[in-house]
Amino acid sequence: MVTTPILRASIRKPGSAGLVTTTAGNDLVHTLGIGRSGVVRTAIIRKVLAYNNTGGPVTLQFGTLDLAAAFVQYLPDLVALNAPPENSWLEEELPAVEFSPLGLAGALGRLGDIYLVASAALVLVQVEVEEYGF
Amino acid sequence: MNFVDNLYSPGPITPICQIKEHLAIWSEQRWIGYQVDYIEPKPRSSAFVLDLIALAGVGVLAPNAAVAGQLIQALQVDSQEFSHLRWFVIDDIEGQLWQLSNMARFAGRGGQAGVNLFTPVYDPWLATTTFWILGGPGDKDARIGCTNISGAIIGQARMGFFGYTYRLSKEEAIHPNARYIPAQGR
Repeated sequence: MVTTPILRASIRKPGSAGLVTTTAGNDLVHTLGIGRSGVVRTAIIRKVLAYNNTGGPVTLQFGTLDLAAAFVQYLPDLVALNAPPENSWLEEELPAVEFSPLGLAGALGRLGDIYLVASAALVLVQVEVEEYGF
Repeated sequence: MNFVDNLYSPGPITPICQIKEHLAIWSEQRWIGYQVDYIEPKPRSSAFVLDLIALAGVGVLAPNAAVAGQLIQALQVDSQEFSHLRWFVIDDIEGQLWQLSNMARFAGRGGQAGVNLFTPVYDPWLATTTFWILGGPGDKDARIGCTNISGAIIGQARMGFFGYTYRLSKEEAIHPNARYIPAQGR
């Protein structure tokens, strides 16, 4: 059977929060684009760069918030080693997890924006995302 | 001869007629006849790339915030001129066009389309962004606004315009071979 691929247009951009300094709590790294009709884009993390000079390894967890504002982890833990060197994860190494809103109530819902929870404060993190939608 | 060919057909922008050919342009509730004396290109250039945030003097644009339609003086034409333009955005915004002061363009009853970073992905030559500005009486100028659809605060909302300007002579009657142009749509 012949199938026809459907073009999914996308744009690449840095995380909208820019260079994030971790707080060991929920840190927003990217807010999904929102259209004039209220529809929200989705996004896949394509690159993570982290600089850790805290003195020891720091675990980075990427995910989103549920609609009760609790963190929901999407990617497995990434361990940022203490400097040097810097820590990077590229597109080939990252699963194409698509961050998307889910409009169910409370803990069943998902905000969709990309959050980071680090095991320690003061790690510098920047992500690159690919956004789909409009 | 197909009178609508090249108005919005996909492909690179081209003049809609030759010099000394005839146009019928819808304006002031009627078709008005013109002969084209001269055609001048407006290639993509920095002169016709505008920053709506700077034009509106709003400093930055918050997520989902909008700049209301601004009169784009750079696109104004003289009374015997007719502009044929396509446009694109550079920043993660959605641009909207109004003409005749507040008449939404690219619009139907249910809403007004706009131009964003994805527009050239599906329409590489931007044919569906085509619009027209006829000089002369009435407010036919372009008013452009935009909405920040990026999800983040942005400091620039840039968009660019390119196309052709036609120098016209008004005719007493519409020439039988005139090409009919919608201009501002009414």
